[in-house]
Amino acid sequence: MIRLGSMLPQAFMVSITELVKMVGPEKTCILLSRIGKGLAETQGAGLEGVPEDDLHYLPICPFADEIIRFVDLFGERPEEFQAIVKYVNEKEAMDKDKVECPAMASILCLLHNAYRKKRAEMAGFETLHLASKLSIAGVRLAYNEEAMEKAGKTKEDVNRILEKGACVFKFVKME
Amino acid sequence: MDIIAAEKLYQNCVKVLQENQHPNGGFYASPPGTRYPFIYPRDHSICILGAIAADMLNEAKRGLEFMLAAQKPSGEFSQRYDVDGNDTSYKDLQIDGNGLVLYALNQYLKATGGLFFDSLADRAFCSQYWEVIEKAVNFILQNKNDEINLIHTINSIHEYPAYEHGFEIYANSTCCAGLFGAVEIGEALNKDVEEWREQAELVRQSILERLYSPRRRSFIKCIRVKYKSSDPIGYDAFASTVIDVDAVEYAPAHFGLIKETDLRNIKTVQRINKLLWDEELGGLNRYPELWDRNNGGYGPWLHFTCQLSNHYTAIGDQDMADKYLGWVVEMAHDNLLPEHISTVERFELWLEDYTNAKILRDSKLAMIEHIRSHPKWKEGFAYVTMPLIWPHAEFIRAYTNYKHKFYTD
Repeated sequence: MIRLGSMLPQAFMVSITELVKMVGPEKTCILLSRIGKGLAETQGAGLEGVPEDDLHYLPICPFADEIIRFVDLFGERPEEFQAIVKYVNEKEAMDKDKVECPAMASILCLLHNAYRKKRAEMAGFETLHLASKLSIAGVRLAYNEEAMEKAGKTKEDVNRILEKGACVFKFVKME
Repeated sequence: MDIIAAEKLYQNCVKVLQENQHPNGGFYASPPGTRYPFIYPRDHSICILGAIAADMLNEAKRGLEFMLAAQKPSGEFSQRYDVDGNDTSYKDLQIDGNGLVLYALNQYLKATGGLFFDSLADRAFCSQYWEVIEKAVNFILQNKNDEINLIHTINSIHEYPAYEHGFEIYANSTCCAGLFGAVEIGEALNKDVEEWREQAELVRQSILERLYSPRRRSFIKCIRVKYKSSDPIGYDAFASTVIDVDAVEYAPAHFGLIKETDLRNIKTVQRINKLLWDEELGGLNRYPELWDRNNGGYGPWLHFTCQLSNHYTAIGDQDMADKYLGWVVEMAHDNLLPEHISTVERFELWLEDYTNAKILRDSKLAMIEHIRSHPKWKEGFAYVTMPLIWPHAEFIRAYTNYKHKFYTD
């Protein structure tokens, strides 16, 4: 009984895999983004992260521990998660506004970036998500090349911050 | 106490407050380019109270305008904001901010009215923000546990959930004082605030019953409970109490919930003075050394020392008020005050602990550099976070009380 209460985040992750099976990755992605936006609206305008020069970064991913727990419980990268990543990568490859997309190291980057982006938008800022990483062996770093270019940053600039952080982004004041 | 030196420090504290208010109204926690160039509702509220004590009512009003406009949709005031009022917090709930903002707003209202409250009090300002006040009150009450009638939080004044997650004394005292403040504002505006008064009184009674230990003759720090709505709380995973001494166990009297002369307060302050006065350095530590969250080294904090001096001033004990405030005056460097003071030896011990534990991070490395390069380092002192604006505001308040009490004639 007690442990079940603390397993709610894991239940959320299980629900994502079930949802992919039921309705496919496209609608699951829409749902994750809507959750992020909905949560953002409850919190209001805000700028996330630690400022460094003209970028911001998160020292740790708020979801990392739960994702690692999930992988420990259910095995590495269930195929439903991979279906989401594949769908997003293919969609982004065709997206003329790729600069707007998250740099996706895990499926929860979709939710998180929607949250961060909406809160920044309420504060009058556009968000460029340059890169993210997940502390699981073998998981690649994720970059958004177009966002890096728009931010005027090289991969080296971003990697330097990723050495001490999980996620790099830039807020640009909207006209 | 060297009264001439104290007067000079006071004058500079006023200047520091003025220089560290951004044109948008926010008081920086520490100046731009230093450790905390953000606006923290807790520090900011004390700066507003400092401005009120120094008769800087325009500055206080601008500070309130900034903070009231930055309220989150839920009614919460976040851990911190940038100078434009954007939430830049990175920590979980610290509900004392809600209490402090309401308390400061009511103090402003009373200060604008003074002896001619009915005709002069700035009701229009409070009326303009009445909706914000309602949301702030409702947010506090949403976090009240109806079994125990106390306010639940995750962080409080030390931003240290290990000892503050649950029903904590400072969070409850500030929120209770904030509720009573909102009641007074509502009465000035002819609003129906009877329900708020009842709720505030329930919280006050519960602080006196649940957060006071008759056998120890002291208020206690916290009833640790993980979930706000645990029912019954006895079955909560954290269910326990924190009985260690903490400087903020003085909060019920400091925020006017009981009299300074109440025996419960007298005895609590005696315990704080006995266990937290630093025998080597002087000044008041914030909590026991063994909690070992002593960034820059364990040592006395200037603003807690100022806070407790108010008790001795209030009861007319000038010797003790001199001891406390005189220490603050002696520790000022170029009439500026740090967050806290440690010794080189204690600094190195802390550094060893945090290095071995691998919990040093970038911001702390910068802090270490600043401590070692400060002129006081060569005298054997670690001056940590210099200057911090909060103790300047706290000194203004404490010294003003001291002068009124002992030098009125």
